[in-house]
Amino acid sequence: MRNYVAVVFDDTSKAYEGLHALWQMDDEGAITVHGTTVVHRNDWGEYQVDSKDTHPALATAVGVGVGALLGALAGPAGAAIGAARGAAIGAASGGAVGAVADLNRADTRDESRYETGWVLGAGQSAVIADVSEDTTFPIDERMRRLGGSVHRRAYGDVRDDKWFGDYPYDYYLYPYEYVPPYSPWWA
Amino acid sequence: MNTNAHKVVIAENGPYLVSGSVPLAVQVIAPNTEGLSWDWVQGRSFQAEASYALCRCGASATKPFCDGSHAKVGFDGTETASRETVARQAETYDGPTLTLRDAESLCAFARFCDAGGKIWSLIEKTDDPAARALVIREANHCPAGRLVVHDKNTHKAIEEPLPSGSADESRDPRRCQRAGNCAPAGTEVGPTMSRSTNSPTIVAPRAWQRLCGTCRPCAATHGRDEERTGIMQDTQVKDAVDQVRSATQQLHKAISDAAAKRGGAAKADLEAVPMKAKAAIDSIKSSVATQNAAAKKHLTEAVTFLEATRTHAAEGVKTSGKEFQTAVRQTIADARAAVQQVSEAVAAKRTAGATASAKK
Repeated sequence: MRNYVAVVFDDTSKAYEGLHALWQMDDEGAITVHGTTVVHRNDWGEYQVDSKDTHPALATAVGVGVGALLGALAGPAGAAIGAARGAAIGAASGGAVGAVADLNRADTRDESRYETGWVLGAGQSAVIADVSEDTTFPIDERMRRLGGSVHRRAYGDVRDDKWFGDYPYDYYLYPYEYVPPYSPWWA
Repeated sequence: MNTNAHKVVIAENGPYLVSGSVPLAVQVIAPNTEGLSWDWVQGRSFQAEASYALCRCGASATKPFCDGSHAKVGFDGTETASRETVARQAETYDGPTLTLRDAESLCAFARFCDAGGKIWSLIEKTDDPAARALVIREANHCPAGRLVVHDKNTHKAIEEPLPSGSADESRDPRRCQRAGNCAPAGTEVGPTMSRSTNSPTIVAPRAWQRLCGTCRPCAATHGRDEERTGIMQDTQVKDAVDQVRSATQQLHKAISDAAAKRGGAAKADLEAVPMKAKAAIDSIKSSVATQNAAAKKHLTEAVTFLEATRTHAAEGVKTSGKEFQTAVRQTIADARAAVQQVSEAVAAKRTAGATASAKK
């Protein structure tokens, strides 16, 4: 079965451990990872998508899409709010998705807080992934040991929410393996 | 001592064949006052010949040496561990003066990393000379090569010589309560190690490990197998479709990286894309015949997207300005779709493999 998962951690480094663990599980054959990204929510409730593995030209698009994705994991109502909130951030950072953002300026801070309560709280980080898994055990168990809480929704449900503006629902996740940025071993 | 001559060959369903006069002795883990692993203490040493065979099946009556029992017990020595390089397996923990590389899958549970508050916490305090010394000590006592520290100034690994030039057979008396004879064995630093099959030669970073065949249940109690129970099945060995996936992932990343550059640099990188896409297409076509129906369907679609990737990349090289940007975006989108299709093929193959294993 193909699912979207968002694994929420209380600190950023753990989110990267979670990201790496997902790809390790893929390597072991326990799951298949189709795409991943890491997002943080700062103390003011704003999304920050780490640019480490994010293509600069797409960074703002990711900002929009991640809001929608997080919302989608909370269900259809959350998807609408998440998309709007993500779009507001896209608007703030400008770029190619400004047009998408403009359509969603109706977002309010109250709605944003409502969405936050479902998935990602202020100060938390999450790894979001599109995965194929035969059972939920491998991810749930591995993430539990890392201190993360797993939110999961069927891929088909997320796809059908259609809250992703001009970009496809899976545009915001990166389909290649996360490699730690500092690798003295290779020097 | 000429350690370059040291060699270990893993015989198929048989022993470790050691040559080059590698010294052999038991090394026992001595705990500190808190009961945590602290030091190696040399125990019994063995009169080792220039070449000898070490038991791998666990059935030998003359352990640690082989007595041929593997043939009688029908020992299955199929390797199940990942062949991924340590560099790809390891996670990095960054400290003020040191960097720790941790390849968890190599763990031998010697637990030298626990003293003083665990090495992963200590690494963050390595501006303190005492903490730095402890981190170096703990990493250097790790017998498995799981933990390696690097100096942040020189970027070089800090590896101290093992005691008396021979690490040899190590035994933790607190381990292996069930099997009793399950002791990881090592030779000294960096012997050349190879398999009897046509696999490439590998060099262990510090020492190599042996877990005798009888210790599988024991290893499970130490956590190694609990991570993999029921999920490894027959997927450990990367097959053709996994390799194809890596190629398409790299292609997508290369295009994304190219697009991040400006002007001529982006174009120069994009020029290589059609050829890389062609290589991925050829690779898929050569592996399609061996796949199941679901995987075949996804791979066929992947080829379509890769053809589009080639076309858009080739068009992009000939254009400039807005047209170039559009071509690059299309190239990325096509490559992404190709990766998705190959990932779906991998998932389909893995699911089929898991189902088949479950039926058995």
